[in-house]
Amino acid sequence: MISNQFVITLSYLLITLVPVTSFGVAFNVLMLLLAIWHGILVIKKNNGVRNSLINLIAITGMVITGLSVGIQNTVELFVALMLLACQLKVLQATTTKQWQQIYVLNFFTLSSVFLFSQSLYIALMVLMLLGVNLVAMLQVQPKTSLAFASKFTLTKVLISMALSILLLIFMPKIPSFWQMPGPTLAKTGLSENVDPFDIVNLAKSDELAFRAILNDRTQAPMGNKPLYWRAIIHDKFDGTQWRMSNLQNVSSNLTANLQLAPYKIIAEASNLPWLYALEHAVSPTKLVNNNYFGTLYRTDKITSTFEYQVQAANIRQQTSMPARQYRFNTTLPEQLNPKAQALAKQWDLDSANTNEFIELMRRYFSSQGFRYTLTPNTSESKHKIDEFLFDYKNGFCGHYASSAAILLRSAGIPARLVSGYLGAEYNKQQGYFSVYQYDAHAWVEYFVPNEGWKTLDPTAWISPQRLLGSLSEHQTLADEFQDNLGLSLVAWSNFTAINWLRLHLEQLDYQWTRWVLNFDQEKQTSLLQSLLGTKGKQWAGALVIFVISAILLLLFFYLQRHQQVKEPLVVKRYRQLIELSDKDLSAAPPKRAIDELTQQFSSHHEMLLQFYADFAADRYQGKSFGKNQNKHAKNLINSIKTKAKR
Amino acid sequence: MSHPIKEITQQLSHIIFGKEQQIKLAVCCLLCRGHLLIEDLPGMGKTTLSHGLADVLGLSYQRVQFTSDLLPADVIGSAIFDSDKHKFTFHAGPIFSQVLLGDEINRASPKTQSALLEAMEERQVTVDGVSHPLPEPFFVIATQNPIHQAGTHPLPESQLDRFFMRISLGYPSEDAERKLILGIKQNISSQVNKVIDIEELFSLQAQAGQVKLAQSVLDYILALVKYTRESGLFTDPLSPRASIALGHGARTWALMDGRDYATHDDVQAVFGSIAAHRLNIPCHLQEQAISDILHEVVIPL
Repeated sequence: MISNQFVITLSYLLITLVPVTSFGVAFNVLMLLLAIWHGILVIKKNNGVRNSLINLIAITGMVITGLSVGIQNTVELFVALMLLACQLKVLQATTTKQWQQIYVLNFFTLSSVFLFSQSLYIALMVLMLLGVNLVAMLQVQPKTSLAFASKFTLTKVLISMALSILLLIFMPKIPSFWQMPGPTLAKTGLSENVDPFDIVNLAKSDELAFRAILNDRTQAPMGNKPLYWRAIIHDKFDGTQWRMSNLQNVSSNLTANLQLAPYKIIAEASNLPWLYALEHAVSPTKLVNNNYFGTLYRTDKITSTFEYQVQAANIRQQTSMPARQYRFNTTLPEQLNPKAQALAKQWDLDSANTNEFIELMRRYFSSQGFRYTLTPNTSESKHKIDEFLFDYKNGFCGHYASSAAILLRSAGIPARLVSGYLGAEYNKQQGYFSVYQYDAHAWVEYFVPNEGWKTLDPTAWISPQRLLGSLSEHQTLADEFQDNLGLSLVAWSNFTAINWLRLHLEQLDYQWTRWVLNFDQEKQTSLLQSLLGTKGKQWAGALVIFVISAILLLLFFYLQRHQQVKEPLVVKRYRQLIELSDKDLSAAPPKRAIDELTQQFSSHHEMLLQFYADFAADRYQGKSFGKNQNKHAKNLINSIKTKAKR
Repeated sequence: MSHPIKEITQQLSHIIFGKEQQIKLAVCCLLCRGHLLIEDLPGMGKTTLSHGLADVLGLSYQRVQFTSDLLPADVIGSAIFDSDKHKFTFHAGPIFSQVLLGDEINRASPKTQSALLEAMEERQVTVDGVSHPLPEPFFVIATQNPIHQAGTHPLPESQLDRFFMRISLGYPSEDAERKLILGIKQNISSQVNKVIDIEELFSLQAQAGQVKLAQSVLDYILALVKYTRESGLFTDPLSPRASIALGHGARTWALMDGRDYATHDDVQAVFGSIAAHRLNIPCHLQEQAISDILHEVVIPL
């Protein structure tokens, strides 16, 4: 019993500290301290903390939680407060009833982790915690052995798993009526505003960004052509940051290039609306919008894994750019970075066309000792690009792309920054690509009349290897990259065994995402069709109804068989009545029990005798216990209850 | 309590003080047409009660003091050669009376005990191939000393079953004993008046059969019997004869209480005296065992 209570505390601690949730250091420390305190209380066999102390801790805890999580992060704040409240309740609880409340509430509290992540491992963790909670809940009943409780839980969990699989496969998918505000995920490698000099924005996470299932025709094999996954176009530069213009949300009438087969992308939750695609693309999937830039987006934020189809777009040849657009794509703050602007103007004079200009730029970057690093210098200066280009000369993709775009714009060439992902890790067995947050990248697109927008990746001049494969497969940057990642399986990918393990776990998670999390209406229909043949569509509905009614029918018979015969009303009232006595009258025969009650509640003497007469009439004489008698019995019970309270 | 029965118990309480429950049980037993065994130490009023019972019901009775040298023929009678008629004629023993008072039955030899117990069950006596029916009604009210007393032959379990009830009187309360010491009453017969005649007795016995035994009460009897058989605590569980006795006892108990329906309480009231002697448990554990059974078996309401 005592150990069960501590296990519940440990599960709260686990949820607090599991990497997918982030409540801030202060909250983590608070929960840790409460857990340690509970541990000490358990060892000392000292149970139940005074209410006043709990209230004090609750108020302080709420303040700490608010500061630690931040008021604006509603979902995290809610979950954190929930955890705190549950933990305090655990410390306070002494009675069986309180524990029952805690265990029942835990089904909700423990499941709230799914707001943050629905990966296979989190699902298994929550399943385990719920199992432990069930066992603990069963043991609230006296005389329940651990072995019995565990066995009971296991069988019930297995039964409900089978049931949920059936429901997953056959239950019609109904779109949700409302959307939960998602927790703000800090770990996405993309951001809507790119400031390369703000070191905090650099993605250090090894979390999955998305997976892509490409077809052979659209996809060049690895190593030939770098994979640039476009996500956000930044076409406004304000001196420090590259921002998105609202053109991003303007939908386009781009058409799909039907000669190329579509491919699938399964995006992980990012809490941003932007989706990923190679080059200019459109998508036939519902909820996905195409925009003017040939990138994809959703109107709402991606708060859970989302699968969509992508089709390459027909690119219209733009012979020239309208003046307004031209101006927009060449605007720069005039006073900033004078040296860079001067250099660009010089190159413009030296070059005959855009290609030559780019060649001059390439030569400059290759010859001046630029270095690729994930830990660049930070700067407080107003002229950051100047400092980068002429002084310290080291940085990562954001620095190079930003400088190149500014140099291009200074020379009057329309240019914009693109952020997205570069590279992918290929899974040979399953034939899909995984793209991680650390693959986030930024590059440049510039406009050439008669040719349209072209991709330019200045980072490639400095660090050509970066283009090939994923950052995790990158040799020269390995050390630096691993320093940034800290402790995770990717950081140990030098060891073959660990890398093997990582890839296999990754594969398992892929299957989970593909077949469980993204088992949508479409997949359901196609599965049912493959099960039922071509006529499946007509039969699918019937089958769903049949299976559900079969399950309900089985359940009905099962319950019917196991349910005891319902007790008559008079017996129910009788049991309620004898419950009121100080003594245990459950083993006493009715007359004696009533006599005992009569002694105890002498003021209800008459009523009790009347009740016994009604009871005997129903139970022994075959007369029925009617409405009036029931009313009388209820009055009697209530009257005794109110008397007992006084 | 219906009138004649109330009168009976009242009359008996004039001679046995402060033992209403035992008196009621004894009357109940006779109304069930059952034989009664009274077990107690010497001098507790066993004989007084049995005489009183016979008197109050207005029945003819004979008393036999059982001793170790008593022969079966001394109880049931024997065929004696009649020299005048030159043939054997049957001379009925004391058993041919409406009530046989068998004092200290466990002092008799097993052979004699068997002869008596057989007659009790068959309600007839067979001597030299001729059956002689016993009078109607026929009751045996036997008394016995606790088994641990010297010179006793304990009744075999199979024959104990033939006694419908066994009761023990126990020591009287202080008040009752004070009355006894001061008491002037020596002649029993003068104290107890006949309350009912045989016709009334038969009618009461028939009425008991009319008492309603509800399903849940029946279930309770079955549950009790089942418990003695399945709990593994008893070497000699209750027989179907005991189940029948429980049903009959509960009905009669209800009748004595003036009701036409039996309740769970009635079953509990008669359970101890009907079941205890049949379960073959050591004397000193009997009371506890009975209350354990009543506590363990869930009452189906």
